[in-house]
Amino acid sequence: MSSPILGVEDIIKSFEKLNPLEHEMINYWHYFRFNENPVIALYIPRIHMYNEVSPFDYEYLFRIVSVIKTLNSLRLRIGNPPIDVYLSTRLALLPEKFHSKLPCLVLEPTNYNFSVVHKGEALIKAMLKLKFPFISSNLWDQELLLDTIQKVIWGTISLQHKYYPVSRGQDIIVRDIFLLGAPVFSLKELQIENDYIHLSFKVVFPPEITENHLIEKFLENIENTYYDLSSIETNIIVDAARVIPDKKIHVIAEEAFREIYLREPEYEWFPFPTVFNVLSKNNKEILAIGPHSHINLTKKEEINISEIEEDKDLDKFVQFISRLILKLV
Amino acid sequence: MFLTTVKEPIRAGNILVMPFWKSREPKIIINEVEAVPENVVKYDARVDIKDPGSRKRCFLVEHVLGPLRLVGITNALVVGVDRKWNFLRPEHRFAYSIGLGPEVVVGEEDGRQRPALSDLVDKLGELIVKIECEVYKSVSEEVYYENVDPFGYKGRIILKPLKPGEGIVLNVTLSENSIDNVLINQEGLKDKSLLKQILRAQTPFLIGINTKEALLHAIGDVTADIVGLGGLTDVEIIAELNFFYHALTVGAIKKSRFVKKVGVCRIE
Repeated sequence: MSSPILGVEDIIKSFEKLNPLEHEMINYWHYFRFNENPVIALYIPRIHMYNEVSPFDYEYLFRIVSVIKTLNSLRLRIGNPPIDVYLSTRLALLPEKFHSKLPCLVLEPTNYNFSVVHKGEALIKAMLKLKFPFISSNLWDQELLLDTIQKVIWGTISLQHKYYPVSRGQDIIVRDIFLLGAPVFSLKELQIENDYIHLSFKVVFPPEITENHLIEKFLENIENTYYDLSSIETNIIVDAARVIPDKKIHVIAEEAFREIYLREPEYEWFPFPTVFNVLSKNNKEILAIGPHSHINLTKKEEINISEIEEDKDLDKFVQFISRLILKLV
Repeated sequence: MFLTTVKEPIRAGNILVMPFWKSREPKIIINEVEAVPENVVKYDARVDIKDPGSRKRCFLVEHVLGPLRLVGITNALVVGVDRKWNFLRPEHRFAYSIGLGPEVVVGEEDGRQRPALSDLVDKLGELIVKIECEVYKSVSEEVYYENVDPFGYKGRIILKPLKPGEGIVLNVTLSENSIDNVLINQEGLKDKSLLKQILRAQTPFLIGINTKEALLHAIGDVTADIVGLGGLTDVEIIAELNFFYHALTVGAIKKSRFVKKVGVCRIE
């Protein structure tokens, strides 16, 4: 059964008037369904986790506008386009019944790179114990404690490399070229309890890496401190994903890309897990691509749809998705 | 000039260079992909080639083509030998994405031209052999090519035909540094001290474009993209480079038309 195509303004209005609960209910997974025999499923994951739409969602709305324009354009040419569209598919909330078996295009900010590898995500929890009795009223002990915590946290989070400019202070775009392939830690929890420090880090990790490697990376940073490791555990939240791009959707997406952008597509990894990681477990006909970069999600003072519609990149991206879909139909 | 190849396989860092006799012009084949302008699929921060038939791709080929020609090797079969992933490198991530192995990335991880060959410079006479095939290949007419890179820097290349035996004459400018009249002939780069420095020079993408070392590295890259891909024996190159200069150098050689003459040649 077909649904009417929503306009861009409708989408924005529905975002704006929703409270968090309604947002999840109304913006439910199968947002559009145009045909009983669809040939492709488009997923549009939202990167930010706020419930209401915000100026940070500019690029997310850009992707939505791209799809709406694609649907409108295809409807004029071939009638109701045989496409399923899934909006705002947050990774943790995607029910299995919405894991499409169709060829899938995940639209996300890959900076127009083709992405078939997505990093995974894990949680590392560690408890450190002071090597000697700690006297909280002693200023020197306090200073040692702070020095150690700082060393452990900075050592874990901030990367150094003998050749590549990955360290803090370097240009973020240049750092990102290398960090896309590195395990990247971020501090999630810090608690000091008498002689113990409880630390937890979220880590996005590349494929081909073991839990032991992640632990070793962390342990390097407590060597030569006043703390011993008391316990450590890792919990893989999402595995890294990899699909070999040899399926029909990859071949025709490459063709469509060459035709519209007049250059060879380039493959690059996506730096954190998205709906791609879940879908690709059982569906290898999948590709992620989209405008904007994950490190440059445009923050606008306010969202102005006409600005999105006038964006010079929009038409080309619409042409690309349309060409790809027409080749599939 | 006469074509040359290696007497026997040489390991040079992460590549193995092997003899190649079956060509009547300068030719390097890397991982079974011919290094020719029409096979180049990426040329901005690096140069990648791809075989249109097998669709096999090789990454960072400029750090093979330039060094080989600079030491005086015109013809060779080359294979990458890296077996370990380094995912901090974008080329490794690309190769992994499309199901290839680390060996398809033939540039070194530190971004230097080919340091392992600099150790062999003093005994090149023992390693390289002349092929009984005399070849002349140049541009058929003067080529002018210019572009503006993504940072807004303008660059330009002029290629001028030279007569047989005049060799390759390089004039390269990168940012505030320049070098003129660098001569490359059948024996490679004449100035062996300069040759060693070039082979050890690191890429401007890691050290910036304003240093002498960046210029030395760029000499290797210009040699790779114009002389290596073009298979040229005699040409004058005037290169005023910008930052993403492979777009400039490969753009120039893709635009070029060539003149080729084969003299005495025992290759069928």
